[in-house]
Amino acid sequence: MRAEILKVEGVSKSFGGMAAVSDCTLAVEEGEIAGLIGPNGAGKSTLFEMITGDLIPDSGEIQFHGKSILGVPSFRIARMGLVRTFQIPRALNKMTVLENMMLASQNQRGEKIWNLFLRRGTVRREEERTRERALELLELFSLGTMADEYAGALSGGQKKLLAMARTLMASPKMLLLDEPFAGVNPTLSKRLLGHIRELRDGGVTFLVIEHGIPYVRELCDSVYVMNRGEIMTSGPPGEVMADGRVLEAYLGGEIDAH
Amino acid sequence: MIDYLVTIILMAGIYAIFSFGLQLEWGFTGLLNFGHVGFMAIGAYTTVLLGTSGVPLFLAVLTGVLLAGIMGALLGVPTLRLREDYLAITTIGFSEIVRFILHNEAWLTNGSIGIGGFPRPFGDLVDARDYELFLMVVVLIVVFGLFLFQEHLIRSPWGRALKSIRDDEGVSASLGKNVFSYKVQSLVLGSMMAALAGSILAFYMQFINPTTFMPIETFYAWIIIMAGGSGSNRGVLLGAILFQLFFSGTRFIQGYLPLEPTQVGALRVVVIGLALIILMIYRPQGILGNKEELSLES
Repeated sequence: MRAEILKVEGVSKSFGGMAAVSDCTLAVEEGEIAGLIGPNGAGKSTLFEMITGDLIPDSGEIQFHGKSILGVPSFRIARMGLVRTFQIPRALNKMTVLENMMLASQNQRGEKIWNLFLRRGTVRREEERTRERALELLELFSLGTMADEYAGALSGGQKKLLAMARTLMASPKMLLLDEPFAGVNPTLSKRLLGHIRELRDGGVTFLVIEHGIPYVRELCDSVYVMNRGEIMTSGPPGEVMADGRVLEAYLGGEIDAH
Repeated sequence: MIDYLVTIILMAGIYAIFSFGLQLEWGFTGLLNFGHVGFMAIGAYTTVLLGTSGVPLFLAVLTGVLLAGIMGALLGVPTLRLREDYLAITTIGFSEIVRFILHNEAWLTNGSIGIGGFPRPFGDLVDARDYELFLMVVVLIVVFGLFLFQEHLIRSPWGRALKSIRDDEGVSASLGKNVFSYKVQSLVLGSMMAALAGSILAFYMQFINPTTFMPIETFYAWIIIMAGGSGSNRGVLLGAILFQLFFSGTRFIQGYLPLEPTQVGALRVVVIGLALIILMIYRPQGILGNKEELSLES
């Protein structure tokens, strides 16, 4: 068995007496693509936000690479290599596509104000390297021609691509994707699938919230199913999907199993 | 006439320095600071009080600027986690507190009577009649320097992080940026610029009292930024010049209008308001602002 990169143990969170997540436990192994599914309101996003540090659990423990990240601010969690995307892609609209990309690069010396004056040469060279890397990644995601456009001018699908490319600029060890395929046309979805697999093969671990059952089946190595704030069941996607209770949980929700 | 022109350029320069600070905070970081004038007051009073007690003027100005920076950090640490409208309320409260302290602590500040007759830099070398001209040259150099400084800042990775916070701080944090730290840095730097403007203003006026630093001064800087274009350093320069031309220009027409001076003062504010409304309708991004940035509001 490979090492567990992310461990969530007995995590609970309630809002004003309403339990959104109760006693959830899950583990993601290094190099796998794990899925998190469940009907709307099951608590997936709440669980997600606790992992990213945007929400603090009432109880329980969350570890990344064996270190507790409970109460660690979200920006520090991102710096540790655990990077998220948003359900609705949040491009920095008033910045160019290239600027969006370059921003995400980690440990930039030019982000320290004194370096801008004391180490101008270093900052300039670093900036050149960041730009090259950003342009390469944009090329890879077919956004090369859009580099100098404002990100706000991109289409919804292109924004999803940019969001993914941007997280890669941060050289993540693990990516948390919040519904990466929602509202994306089939052609683009196929490309996103390809990108995710390539990254996995390159050693990046994934935890993906997704509603589209076919994507989960095709992509995930393991699946956790949430319902009413609890992890209902987990296992390989084939097994989990065959579980009658899972379908039942989805009934009235959005079954997308063709 | 030359004197008049010198005064306009000098005052425009001082307001430009003052507005550069607000531009950094609002135009590049998105901080809604309604108490900018508080830092101008800190700069002016520190410089004057130290100057009158014999501290070399260069050091006095530097101390004022640094003190404003420290006060910016002290104000920022408890307030910069607030949502923007709350930040606006607390900052305007701050600037009023500063003004009331200056008003009430008469043992130190001479209260409402104010302080005059303090030493000015190179005051003994430059002939008093030429002093405004001298100060104008100094101000122009400072404005030019600050312009280059700020352009360098915002075109750097540091400036990129600020702009990302202005756009969507949740995204900045998700990409590992320490949002809070950047906001504090922005407020500290902006406050230091306000203090520098305050010191120069004191040298020019040769007299300061608490009413020099009414909240309206903050909103003059806002007018300059909105008119010139938020997020544009050139806009600050243009906005400051237009604002000053308008303010002084109304003095010319005063003689031709059948109005009392106080009525002209009131009319002036009415016209500024009207001009801003018209500008916001036809060119909401400001004269030199970027139209595209505005139309891309998410």
